[in-house]
Amino acid sequence: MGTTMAFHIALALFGVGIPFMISLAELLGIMRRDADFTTMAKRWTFAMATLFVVGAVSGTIVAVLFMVLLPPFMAIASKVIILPFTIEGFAFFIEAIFLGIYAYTWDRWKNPWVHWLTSIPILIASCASAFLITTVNAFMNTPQGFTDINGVIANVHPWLAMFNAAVPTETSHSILSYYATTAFVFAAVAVTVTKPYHKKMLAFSMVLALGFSLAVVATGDSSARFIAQNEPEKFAAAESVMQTEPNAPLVIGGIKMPELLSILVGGSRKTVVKGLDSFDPTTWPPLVVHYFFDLMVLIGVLMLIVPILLFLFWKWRPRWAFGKAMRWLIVITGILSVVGVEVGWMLTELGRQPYVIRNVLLTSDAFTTSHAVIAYAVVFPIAYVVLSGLTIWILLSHYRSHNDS
Amino acid sequence: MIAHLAIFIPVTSFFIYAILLFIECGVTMLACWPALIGDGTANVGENMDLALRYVTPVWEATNVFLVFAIISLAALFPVATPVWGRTLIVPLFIFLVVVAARIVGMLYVFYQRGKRRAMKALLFVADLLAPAVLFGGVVPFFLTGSLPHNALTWSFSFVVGSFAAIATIVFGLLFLNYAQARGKHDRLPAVELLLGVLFFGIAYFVTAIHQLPYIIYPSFTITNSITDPQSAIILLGVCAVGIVITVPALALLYFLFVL
Repeated sequence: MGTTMAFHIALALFGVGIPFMISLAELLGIMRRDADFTTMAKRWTFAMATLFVVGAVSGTIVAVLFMVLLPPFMAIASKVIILPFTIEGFAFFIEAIFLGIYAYTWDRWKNPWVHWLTSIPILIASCASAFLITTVNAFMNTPQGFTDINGVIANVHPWLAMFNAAVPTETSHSILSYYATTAFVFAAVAVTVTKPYHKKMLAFSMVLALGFSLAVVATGDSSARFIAQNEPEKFAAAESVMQTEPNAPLVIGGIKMPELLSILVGGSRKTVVKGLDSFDPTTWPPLVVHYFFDLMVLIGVLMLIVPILLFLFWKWRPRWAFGKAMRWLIVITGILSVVGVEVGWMLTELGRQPYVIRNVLLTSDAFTTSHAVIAYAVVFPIAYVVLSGLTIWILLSHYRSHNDS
Repeated sequence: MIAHLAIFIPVTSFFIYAILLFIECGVTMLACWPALIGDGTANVGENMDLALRYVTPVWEATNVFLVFAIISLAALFPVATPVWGRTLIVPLFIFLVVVAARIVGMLYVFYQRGKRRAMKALLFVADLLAPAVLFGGVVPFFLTGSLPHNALTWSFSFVVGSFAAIATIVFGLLFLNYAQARGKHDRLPAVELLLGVLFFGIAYFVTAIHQLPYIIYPSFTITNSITDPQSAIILLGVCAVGIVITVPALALLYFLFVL
């Protein structure tokens, strides 16, 4: 299950990010009458279509896996939090339909605006998909909109469950991070290819990357505050706070900054931060989430520094900006930004343990007891390795063979 | 009334998926066939051109019908759906593996324009197996409301699976006929294709309606397993709005590439 989800998230993030990049590039191409941007949009369309196909398959597998592997989870989820999935079904339709139209009608219409307009439904639907699915994850963190009396689910309010307390912080933080990550990966591609327009592509990606990274950091801050308020045990584990106290220090990468955590959480040194000692040790999340949190924050900081550094060099030291060191730094940031999304997701998942739906359903009770699970556990990770290998190979060989045209 | 409306949504979505899957798998199989026989040098046949032109723009939307069928089933009949999940764990697993193999083949042959014979053979086999496994392993139980319990049900499975494999080839041929005649003034291939869909549709919906009010015999009927009334109304409302938005978009897609 975890493998499938990890794979699906990596695909989904590009599924959300690439349509935005493509639509914007095509728009710039039309408005500035700059053929380079149009070429970029055209070339990226192949990647978008390929990743969408693979994403659709892994999405189908995820849907079936949920049904097959997690009957007790589905018994609750399909009563309470199925509304976003249902809406997502339609968003998925719109995305698939307009993707087909967009990818195969580049030369169909005389007026370039018509083709650009077909990218808008993809943009909206992919963003809506990410929002809707993230509301489900938010529900698992802050379940509401139903009553659970001895396992009997009643008084279901589907809209209340969907727009639960964690939705604003969690959806904004994750969707913005998908956009930022896609922009960084595009920048990494821009510095590895030698195209007449690669500087333009680099500038385009990095401007977006910087803007989105700022937004990711801002929403990350509000997410952290929200978690401190509403999921204190996750917060304590993530920040490695053992004792409940005011003047709590902030610990990142082993470095201790006194009182900073209290200030960040409550705006004052006197704010009491709940530590793990306030909770029953059997309900502690695995303490390793602290390292996930550290890694996520460090990657976030890197995502802010690298674009700024690049633009500073570009202005005053152009030779450094396009030097080998900077190119490597950009490529590494591109890869790390994907890692950042993955560890961010693992943080919210592992930080909720031992529950799969916080205080409602234990993860250990959520899985099926059927032995056929073993077949799933063996085959799907392998299938995903094959599928991702093939995807990467197809993308690489496609772009290599079209490089000189 | 609401329960009838509710079961109609996943059943219809699944029907559309089945028809599109038959056509796509059939067309793709027939496109791969020339490369498999003879010395294997025949690469780009006419069927391959037609498959590229008609299948690649629309096949991504096809998969959504399956996803939507599952989602709407789980949403509207939350108690019964996990029962299927538990019982059909093995056939569903085989189906997913075949689908994954089919995607690998599709990506290689259609997106990468790869020429390896082994990959075309893989795609050919996966195209034949995907509908067969779905219809043999899943559909009889989903559509008749009975769960597999003895050798007899599995032999029934085998019959339905073989039927699906044949239907795939038939629909592939019908569609290729239609595609070749498109633009000419010959209406017959289009009528044949429609009759094929109608024929299959009657068999499908008669079976589906026949089992009502049961969805899983004898414990689950549509009325006792539908989700609570308030949720049902909200979900059906969302579906109504969704259908109003999606149907014109689907019409545009098929109008641009297929019709």
